[in-house]
Amino acid sequence: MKQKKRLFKFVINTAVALLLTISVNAQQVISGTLKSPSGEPLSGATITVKATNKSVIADSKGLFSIDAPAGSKLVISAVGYKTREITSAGTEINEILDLTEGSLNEVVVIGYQTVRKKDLTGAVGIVNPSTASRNISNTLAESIQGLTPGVTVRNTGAPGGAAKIDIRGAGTFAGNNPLYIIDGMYTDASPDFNPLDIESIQILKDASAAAIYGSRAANGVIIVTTKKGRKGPTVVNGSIKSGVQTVSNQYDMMNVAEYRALATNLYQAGGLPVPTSLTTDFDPSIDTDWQDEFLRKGAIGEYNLAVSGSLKKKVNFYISGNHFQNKGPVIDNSFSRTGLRLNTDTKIGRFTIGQNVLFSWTKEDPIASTGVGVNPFVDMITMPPVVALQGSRYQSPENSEGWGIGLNNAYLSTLTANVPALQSLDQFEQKNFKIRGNAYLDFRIMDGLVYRFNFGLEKSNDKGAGTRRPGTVRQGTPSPNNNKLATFSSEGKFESKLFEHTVNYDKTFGNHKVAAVVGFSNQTFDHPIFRFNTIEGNPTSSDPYTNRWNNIGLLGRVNYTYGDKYLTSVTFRRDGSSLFSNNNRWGNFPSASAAWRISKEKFWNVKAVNELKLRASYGSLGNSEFLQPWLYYAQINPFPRAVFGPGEVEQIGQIVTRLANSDLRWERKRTTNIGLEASFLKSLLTVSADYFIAKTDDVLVGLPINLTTGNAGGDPAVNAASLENKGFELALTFRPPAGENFRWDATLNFTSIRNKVVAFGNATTKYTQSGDARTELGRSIGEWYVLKTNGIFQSQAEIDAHKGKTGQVLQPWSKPGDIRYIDTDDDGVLDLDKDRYYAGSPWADFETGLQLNASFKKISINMQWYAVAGNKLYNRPRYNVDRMDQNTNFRRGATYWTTQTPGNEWPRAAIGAPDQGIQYNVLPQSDRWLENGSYLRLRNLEIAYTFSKDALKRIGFKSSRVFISGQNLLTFTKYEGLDPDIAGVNIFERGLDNGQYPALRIFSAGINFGF
Amino acid sequence: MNTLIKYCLAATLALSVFSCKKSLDLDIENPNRIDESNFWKTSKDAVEGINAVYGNFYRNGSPYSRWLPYYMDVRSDDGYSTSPWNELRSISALNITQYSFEVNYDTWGHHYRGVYRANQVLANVPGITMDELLKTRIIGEAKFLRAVYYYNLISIWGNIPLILEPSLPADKPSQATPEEVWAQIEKDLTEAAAALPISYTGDEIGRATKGAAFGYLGRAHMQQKEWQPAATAFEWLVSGPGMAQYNLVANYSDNFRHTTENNVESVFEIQFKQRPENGGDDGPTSNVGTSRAPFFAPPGHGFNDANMHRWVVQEFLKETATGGGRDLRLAVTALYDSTDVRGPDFSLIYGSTFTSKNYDNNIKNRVWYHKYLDDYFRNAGGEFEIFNSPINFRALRFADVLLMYAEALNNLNRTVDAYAYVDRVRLRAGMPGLSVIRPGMTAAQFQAQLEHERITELTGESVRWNDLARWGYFDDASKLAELKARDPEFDNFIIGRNKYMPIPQSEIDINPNLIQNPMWQ
Repeated sequence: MKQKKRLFKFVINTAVALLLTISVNAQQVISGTLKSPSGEPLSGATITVKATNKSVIADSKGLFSIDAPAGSKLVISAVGYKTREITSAGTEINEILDLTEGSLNEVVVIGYQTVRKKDLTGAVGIVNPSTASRNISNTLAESIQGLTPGVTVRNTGAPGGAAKIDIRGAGTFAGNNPLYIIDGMYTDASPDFNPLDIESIQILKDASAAAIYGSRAANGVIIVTTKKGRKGPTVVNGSIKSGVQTVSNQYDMMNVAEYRALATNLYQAGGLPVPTSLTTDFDPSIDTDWQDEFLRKGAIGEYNLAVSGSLKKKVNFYISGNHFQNKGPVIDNSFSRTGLRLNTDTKIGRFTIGQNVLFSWTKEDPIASTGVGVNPFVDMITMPPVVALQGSRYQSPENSEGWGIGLNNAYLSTLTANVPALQSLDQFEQKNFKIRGNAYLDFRIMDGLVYRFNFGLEKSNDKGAGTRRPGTVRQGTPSPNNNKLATFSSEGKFESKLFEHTVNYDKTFGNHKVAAVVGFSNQTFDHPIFRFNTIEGNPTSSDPYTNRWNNIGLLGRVNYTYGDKYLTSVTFRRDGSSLFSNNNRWGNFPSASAAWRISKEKFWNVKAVNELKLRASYGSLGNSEFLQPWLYYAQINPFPRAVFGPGEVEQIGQIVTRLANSDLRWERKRTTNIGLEASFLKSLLTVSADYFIAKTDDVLVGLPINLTTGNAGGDPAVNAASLENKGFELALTFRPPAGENFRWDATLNFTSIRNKVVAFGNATTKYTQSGDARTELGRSIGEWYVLKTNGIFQSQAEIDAHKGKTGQVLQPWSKPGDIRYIDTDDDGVLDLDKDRYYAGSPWADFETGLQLNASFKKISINMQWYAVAGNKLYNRPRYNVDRMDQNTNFRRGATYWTTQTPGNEWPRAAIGAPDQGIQYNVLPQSDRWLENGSYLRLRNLEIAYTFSKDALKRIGFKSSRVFISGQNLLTFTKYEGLDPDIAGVNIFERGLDNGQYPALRIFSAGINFGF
Repeated sequence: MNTLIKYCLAATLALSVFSCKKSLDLDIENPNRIDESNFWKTSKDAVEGINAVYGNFYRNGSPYSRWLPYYMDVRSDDGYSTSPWNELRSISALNITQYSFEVNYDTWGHHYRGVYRANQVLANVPGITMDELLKTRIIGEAKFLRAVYYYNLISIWGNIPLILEPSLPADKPSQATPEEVWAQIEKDLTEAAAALPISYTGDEIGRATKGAAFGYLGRAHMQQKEWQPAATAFEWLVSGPGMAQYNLVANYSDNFRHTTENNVESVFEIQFKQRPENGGDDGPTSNVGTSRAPFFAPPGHGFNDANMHRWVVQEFLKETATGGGRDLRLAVTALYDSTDVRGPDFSLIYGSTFTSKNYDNNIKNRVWYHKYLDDYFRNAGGEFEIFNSPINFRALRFADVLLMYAEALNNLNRTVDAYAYVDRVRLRAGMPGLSVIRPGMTAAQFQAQLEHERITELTGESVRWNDLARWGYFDDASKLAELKARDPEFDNFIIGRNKYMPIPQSEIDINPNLIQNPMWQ
C-alpha cells in the first residue's frame, strides 16, 4: 500500500512538473534513441556504462537516458542485434543497431515456455503491438485484422462490440473463438482490455504450437503479454487520441416525393386502395430521412498514461491508466472503458514473485432492438419518409408520445419499426467491473530448474439496468404493457480461478539444448445471473441461473535442439472437463514437431539466403467451446403452466422441452503443418510460408434438428460432423537499408483457406440448412443455395418460350416483366426446392493485408491495406427494400418493369403481391439478392511527426509525436450494402448481411509523449 | 538432492492448498434444473408432466392462440386476407411460396412439440408407482391431447410423420400413410375415452373429459366419412351416458366470452388467462393468454389481417327468426356496418359507432370475424387488442356435436332422425325448427341445409376448412367453382395441391425422408 502511495505521489509530481514545464536539469545525462535498421524503435535494448553495473533499458519508443561521466563507454545490446560499444561524445546518442543473424532472434512466448523465434518448430504468428494499436478498436481481435496471415477478422463497428476472429479458417461449426492467454490467465476476448498495455501478441496456429493448451486450443491461441517494468529510471509515457466516427456509407433512399410517386403506383398495381397518407391526407411538411434520424456523428477519445520503472532495483513496476470513450454513430449508443493496470515483479533470492492485474470499468449503452421484428439497420431504410418521427396523428393510449409508426391500412400501414423511437423509449445501460490478472511465485530450485505456482483470477460483475417508457414503436405489437412503465435489471457475477503448478527445466550441454516443462492446470468457473424486472412497479417472475464448470489439465513439453540446426518438440496434454458426461470426460492431446535450419549446415553456401528453416508438425487438439454446462443430459423445464378451473389457477408443469445428446464428446482437431522461413540478402527480404491440413472430427454444434422431434429452446449440442481446412499462408517483409533521411519497409501477408465438410456424425445426414445457405457433404460450410434467375421476361412470347425439356411452360403464371427462373435440375418443372443451386460461397478465396511504413526525417507514414476476394454475400437489407411488395421506402432509382419502362434489372412489382408472378419476383431464396463481397480497404492511414529532442527538452519532454489517422478511409467494392466486412449471423449463414452494424470511418488526431 | 525433495514436497503442499477439492470436481451438480433421469418418479411428476402438455397451448404463436383460424377459417371460402404481411396473406390466398415462413413453420412445430410432450408422458407415467386412478386419467389425457394434435396435423398437411415415442435429436422420420395416422388418432381417442372421467371439479375443470374424447373420436370418423362409428361416438354425448353433462347454453354469445367459460356446452376448451407478463416461451413470464384477437380485429383495434366475406352475412339473411327479425347469431359472428340491425349509426366497433369510425370506401365494406374479439369488454374507445386475451377457445362445443351427429345420421339414411338435433341448435338461436318449416327433406336436401346450418352456427370457429374437405369441395371442379364464386382467392386453388399446405421447406431441407406434398414441390 505504501508503495502504491508513493507511486501515486510520483505520478502527481511528475504531472505537475510537466504542467509547469520545469525542465529537470540533471548533470551528465546521456540520452538518445535506439532504432533498428528499418527505423523501428528498439524497445528493451540495454544500455550499460562499461565497467560499471549501471544500466538502463530503452523504452517502447527506443528512448533511453543514463547518468554517465562524459567520455565513458556505453555498451548497447539488444536481443537479435549486434552489440555495440560507443564512446559518448555529447549528451545525445542516436544509434541504429545492425541485426545479428537474421531477424529471427525475437523471443516468443509459446505457453509455459519462451523460445527464440528462430527455434520455433510450430506455426506462430507474431503481431507488432504498435501496429495493432494504431487502429481504434473495441477488441484486440479487431485491432489485428490484416496484420498476420491465417488470422481472419470480421468486424462489427458497434461500440463495445466484439469482432469475429478465425484462426486458420472455420475449424468448427460454432465456438470458433480462439483461446486468449493474457499474462498466463486463460480468458476470452473482451472489450475491457487496453491495447496500449500490450507488450507482445503471439498467435499459436498449428497443433504443435498450441498443444500445450490441449483441449482449449483447437481454435488457436492468442498469447498476450502486457508491459512490465524494467530496471532503470522511471519512464512516463502518455498519449491522447481523439476523433470523429461516422457510418460513412449510407443507403441512398428516396425522399418523400419520389417515394410517394412509386408507392402510389405500386399500390395501384396491386389493386389496393392507395393509402390516404399518399393522397388526401398527404402532409407535404413531412419528409423524414430515417437514416439521419437514427445515425449521428460519433466521437472517440482515448487517454493513456503509463509509468514504469523499478523501486530500489528490486520491485519492477508498470502502472497504467486508460480511459476510452466512444460516443457511437447511432443515437443513444455509446461505450466507455476505464482501466487501471498494475504489473509488478520482485526478485528475492531464489524467489521471484509477481503479479499482473487489470481493473476495468466499462459502460455500454447498446442499440435497443427488443421487440417483434425490430432490426435497426434495416428499419432505418425501410421506414417510409412519409412517416413523421413524431406527431399528434400517431398518438394513442398505446403510443402516448406519438412516435411515427404505421397506423392502419387506410392511412398508412408499414411493419417497420420506428427505431429512433425505440432508442429513446428503451434506456438501458450495461456496466461491468472486472478484475483480471495473475499472481505467480517462481522458485529457482537449482540452475535451470524453476518451479512456478501461478494463480489466475477473473472476476467480473455485470450490471444491466434500464427502463422502457410506455409506447409502441411498430404497428402490430399490442400488449397490455405498452402503456406501462417497465424496468429491467440484471446482475451477473462471473468468477474464474486458475491454479497452475509447473516446473521448467532448461539446460545446455555442449550442442545439446533441452527445455522442458511439466505441469498441472486447474480452472474453475462460476457464473450466476439474476434478473429483476418490473411492470409498473410490480416485479415479474424471474429465473436466476448459475453456470458452473471445471477443467483439469496435465501438461508436458520437451524441446530439444542440437547445434541450433535440428529442433524438435514433443507435447502432451491430458484434459478433463465437467462439460462432458463421466464416460467422455477425459481427452489426450499429443503433438510433435521438428525443424531443420538448413542455413546452419556447413554445406550451405548460398550467400543470398542467409537464413533457411524448414518446419513440420503434427498434433491433436481438443475443443468444447460450444458447450454450456450440463448439456449432456436432458433437463426438466420447470416453467410450462396449465390453467384450470373457475379460479384460473396456474398449475405447475414440468417436462423436457429441449432435447439432449447424452454421448457428447471432445471435438478433436488434427493438424499437419509444413512451414518454411527464409531470409534473403542480409534480411532485405524475409519470407515465412506455411501449408496446413486441419481435420476436425466430432465437431460440436447445435445442428438444426427437425421440428418433428418437438424440440424447443435451441438445437441440442451434438458431435455433428468432420471438417477439413486446408490453407496456405505467406508473409513477406521487405526492408531496404535505411537511408539517412528516408527509410521504408513493407509487409505483405496472404491467406487462402478452403473448408470442406467431410462427414456428418449421422450417416443419413448429407447436409444441413440454415436460411438460404446449405452445408453439404464435400462442400464448404454455408454455401448459398438458392434459385437461379436469368433476367426478366420482356414479352408473353418469352414466357411461352421458356419451356422445360418436357415441353411444358415453366412459369405459366408469369407476366411480362417477371423474373425468369432456371429449371436447374432440368426435369421440366420449376420447383422451389429442387431447382436451387449452389450460387457461391461466403468464404473468401483469399485475403491479404499490406502494411507500409515510410519515414522521411521526422515525418512517418503508416498504411494498412486489407483485401478480401471471392466471397458472396446475401444483402438482406436490399431484399427488404427492393422486394417492393410491402410498404417500405425504396432505394433512389428503384423502379419496376412496365411495357413503357422495360429493362433487365427491375421486375414487375406491386404492393400486396396479388399474383403468383409477383410472389415469385420477391422470392428471398434467389440469387437476385447475392452480391460479390470482395473488397479492398485502406484500413488505416497514419501520418505522424516526431519532434526533435532539442525542442522537447525545453518543455521537459523526452519524446513527443503527433499524428493524424484515418480508419476505413477508402473501400473499393461492388457490394451495395453498408459494409462488405460481414460477420454473418452464425457459422451456417456466414455471408448473411442481416443489417449488421457497419465498420466505421474514424478520423482522429493525437499525441504521444514521454518524459 | 535432499533440497530438491524438500522443494518437491513444498510444491505438493502448495498444490493441495491452492487447488481445493471442489475445484477438482468434474461432477458438478446443476443448481438450476432437474436431470430427466431424476424425474418421472412420483405422482407429482406425473401431474406436472401432463400439465406441461397442456402448457404447449400457450407457446408464442401456438395454433389455438393464433394461427389455427388462418388455416381453418381465413384460408377457407368464408375469409380473405388483406394483410400487409405478404407471406401471411399467401396462406389465405392459396399461393404460398415461402413454405418455411414463421406462421407455417411455427404451426407445424408447435403441433409436434405437443406430440413430443404427450409422448414423454405416455412413455414415463406408466412406470411410476402411484395412485392407479390418477395414473389412468393422466395417460388418458395424454392420449387425448396427442390425438387432437394429430387431428390438426393431418387436416392441415395430410401426409405427416407419426411419432409415438419421445424423440431423439437425430430422428429423421418419414411420413406415415393417412390411414395409419387416422387409425392412431382413433386408437388414442378410444383409449382416452375409456380412461378419462366424465367430469372434473374445482381447480381441475378444463382437463380432457370422456365426452371430449368421444366428441373428437366422432369428429375424426366424420372426416373419414365413417358415419356409423361417428354416430356411435356422438351418441355417448347426445343420448348416451354423457347426455346429462351437455346442453346448449341459453345465450349463444356465452360461447365466446371469458365470463362464461367451461359451461354446459363446452366439450373441450383451450384455457386462456390474462396475466400481466406475456413474454417468452415456457419461461417464468410466459403468456397464458390468446393472441388471436389483434390479428382479426378491425383497423385501429387490430391488424385486420383477415376479413370475412360478405356472402356469409347474406347466408344469415336468407332466413328470418321465429317472430321476425334476423338470426341472432349474425351479430355474434360478424362485425360490420350492420352488426346492429339498425345500421352503421348503431353498430358498435369497440364502443364507438361504425359511422363515427369514418372508414374509407375500401374498409367500409369489410366484415370482420367477431367471435373471440375482446370488444365486448375492451371498448373504452381507442383500445387495441392485446396478445394475452383471456377468452378460452372452444375447440369443440356441443352444438357442433349435434350438427355432426345429424350429418352422420343423414348419411346413414336416417334423415328423419337427424331433424331433432339440428332443430335443437336452431331453436336456441331463435330460428324455427326445420321439422316445422322444411319437413320431409331428401338426404341431399338435408345435406345442403346442414351446410347452411354449420355456416350460421359455426363460422369463425375453425371448422370450415374441414367441412369443405369432408363435403368434397376440394376434389371436384364443379364444387370448387362454387368456392371460386364465393371467394376469388380460390382462383389460385389447384385440385390435388391446395387441399393440404406445403410442409415447411426447412423441415425437408434437413430430413431426406420427408416428401413435400404433391404439387408443392
